[in-house]
Amino acid sequence: MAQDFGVVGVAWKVTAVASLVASAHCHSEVGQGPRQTKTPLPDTFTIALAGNPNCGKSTVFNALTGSHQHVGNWPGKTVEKKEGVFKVDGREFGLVDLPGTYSLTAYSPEEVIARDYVVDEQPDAVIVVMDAANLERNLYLTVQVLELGAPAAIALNMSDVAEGRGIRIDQARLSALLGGVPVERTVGTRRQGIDKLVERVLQAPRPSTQRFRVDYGEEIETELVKLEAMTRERLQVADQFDPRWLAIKLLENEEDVVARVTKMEGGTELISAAQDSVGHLESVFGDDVDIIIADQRYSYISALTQQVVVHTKRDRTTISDRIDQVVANRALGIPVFLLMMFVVFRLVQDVSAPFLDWVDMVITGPVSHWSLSLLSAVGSPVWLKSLLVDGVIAGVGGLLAFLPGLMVLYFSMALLEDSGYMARAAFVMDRFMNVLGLHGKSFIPMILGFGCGVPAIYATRTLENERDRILTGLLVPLMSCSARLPVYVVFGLAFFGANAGKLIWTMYALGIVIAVLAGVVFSRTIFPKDKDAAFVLELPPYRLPTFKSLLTYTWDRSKGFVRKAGTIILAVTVLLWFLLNIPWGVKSQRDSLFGQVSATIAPVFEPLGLGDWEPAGALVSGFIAKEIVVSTITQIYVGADEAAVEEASTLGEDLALIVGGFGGAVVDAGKAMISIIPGVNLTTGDEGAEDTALSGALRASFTPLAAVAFVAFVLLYVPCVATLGAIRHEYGSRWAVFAAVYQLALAWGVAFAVYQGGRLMGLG
Amino acid sequence: MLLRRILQELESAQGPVDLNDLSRTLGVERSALDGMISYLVDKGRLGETSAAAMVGRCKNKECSESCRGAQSCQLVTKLPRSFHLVSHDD
Repeated sequence: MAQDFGVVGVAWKVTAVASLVASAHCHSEVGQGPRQTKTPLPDTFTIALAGNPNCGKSTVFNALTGSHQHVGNWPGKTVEKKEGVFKVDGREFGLVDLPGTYSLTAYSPEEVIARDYVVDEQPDAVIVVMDAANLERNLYLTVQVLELGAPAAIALNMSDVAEGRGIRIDQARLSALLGGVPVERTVGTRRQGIDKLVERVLQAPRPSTQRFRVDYGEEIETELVKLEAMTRERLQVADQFDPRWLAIKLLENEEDVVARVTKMEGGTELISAAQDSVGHLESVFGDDVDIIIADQRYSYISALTQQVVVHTKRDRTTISDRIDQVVANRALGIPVFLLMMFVVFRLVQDVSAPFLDWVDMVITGPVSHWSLSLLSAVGSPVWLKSLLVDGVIAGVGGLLAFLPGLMVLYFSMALLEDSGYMARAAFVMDRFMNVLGLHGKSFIPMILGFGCGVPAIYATRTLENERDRILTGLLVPLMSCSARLPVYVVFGLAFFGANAGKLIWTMYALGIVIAVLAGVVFSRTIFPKDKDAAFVLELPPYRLPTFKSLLTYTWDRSKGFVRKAGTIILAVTVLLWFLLNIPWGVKSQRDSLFGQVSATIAPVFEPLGLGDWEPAGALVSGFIAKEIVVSTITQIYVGADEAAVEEASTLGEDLALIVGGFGGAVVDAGKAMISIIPGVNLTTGDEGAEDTALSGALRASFTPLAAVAFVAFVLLYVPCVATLGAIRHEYGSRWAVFAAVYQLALAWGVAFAVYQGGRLMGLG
Repeated sequence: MLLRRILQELESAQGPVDLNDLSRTLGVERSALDGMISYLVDKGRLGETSAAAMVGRCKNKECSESCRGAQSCQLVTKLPRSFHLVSHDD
């Protein structure tokens, strides 16, 4: 039975059939066995394949053409063009793969190419390949192809995927609602249904009175009828354009269509009439006509989809949806976030402690006396030995001890970021951020700030207005970055032992609280709030990041930390050693240049319980990079302690100590990580209990209350040089200076409140 | 009229709107909603503020030593897509 191609009303150019197929026993390349009809095949036929990106169009193309295809570029464009031939009953027919597009409006080169090919080259048929699992989206292009007046057919591709998801499509009803266009289920990867569809397309067309049209509503239809009639009367375009399609394009004011019509005889009058229609419709609807037309099209498609698609799976809730019922819940979301951060910081502490002991043992033991032995063997002067052991090894080596803990932090951040959680955090924190005069999107740079302030500052580019960008950028440095973590760990272990994790978590929470307060103050003073702009956020589905991507991120960040230790921190450590030994031969560090300058500044910190030159000097060195605070206090408190260098032993004993100690640290860290699970405790309480030289020195120099004040100061004071540079780059020098000054004042004020408040409460 | 309903939902929203929730409210497939959102962005009714803002101004390696260039920016892949309402006065 011959089938029409569904959409007529246009005198479409179709080649007449020359002869009948000879035998019912012929074997065609398309289809298996004898064809169902005796309808003769055309002599020539060209089919264009249209479809959305990722609908399987290329798979269909390849299935039909095999190796008989040619790849080039569309004339004058850089867009790839694929043409090929397919055979039916020994005859070759042409196939053109149009660029994947979501529509035929002229917003992209691909859309222009696809539409112009159908209009200008007039293929004998257009097969629209649709992703059956996303019918509604794919129908937009289909509707536009049908409006063009092209003879069309539809391949409901990826039908297997759709059926797997419980999506059932009423093919017959879809065909009827689209004006009788042939519709076939296909699975391109298995070549199912393709041959049948092509055979239907090749069957001789018969003019039909059916016509596909979208009802755009009374007002628009009135203007379309007028313009359509004018088109038929005044332009000789019946062979090229469907008059109704042309009228729609003129109402949509599509530039290239208008340009074409303007060049035609009688075109100017038509354009003028179209502009009058547009003006009238805009006054009726109070909006742009092209948007009204598109809106009607989408609404039509939505209604059509509801008539032809049935979802057989009742529960369409995805795993992501179920997780979001807790994680993105407006009441539970914040507690969940805080709990996750606590777990992360607890892990950091538990992993850090055993390795800190191990590194302390290795540095003060084998590494120090190997270095001393080597330098002695080559007759090095005493000052060089001191520089190496008291300076470089103490300063840089002591900092590298935090690498395992930082790797845990980087790994955890990567997991949060790559899993899709970050978008939820922005969603959940929106109401919270409103208090600061910001919205949830500003929380994302703040989360990034937990890793490093520099990328966090640049991430503020994603905020719409300058006010939000600068305000967020001023609050980002209050999010405790990873560089401060070694300071928290050192003081936490020295003064709080197994409860060091609580100090770490408290510092992170304090940073968030201070950021909230600062945001409230700023948004009511120097950053008055604009009216709220609503926003839509895409919550991507949760995904389990690949181990490889997590390791890559962790490795990249860890490499950056080690590189920083080996460059900036090494340079500062060496400089600091010289400053601690100048004037040359000085007996006491207090009398060194560094000591004297620090002592001059120290009275500023007296009210904070930090009136000695050592903490003052350490804080000043942290201007460059926060990690340097640890290097400095290690050099000051441990580097000078010659007793920290243990007695020499044999190489074999040293290696056994190193390897055995590392193994023990790994086991202890593993036990501690597993013990974070409620109800599980593999620890004996001794892990990480060894007192390091630094811990002992700190307890001798700080009270616990002064230690907390010191750590709070480190949390809040001036951003490091790199972050200040990013602030200056993004917002200007004025804001960089402001950030430095306000944070310094804030840090002093909070540390003062901690120390003096603690004393008033009898804690210090 | 779906496009207008999208804009109305945003105008009346008290906070951020999740695309999944919006598709359920409008009774459309999520992928179809993506198409409508893209259309509204093309028409200037919505602004998209994620990848374009980052990549357009990026000078390689300025924000991170592990930067692999603007076109493969890791920040862009991590930042969720978001769209904001553009007022007619803008």
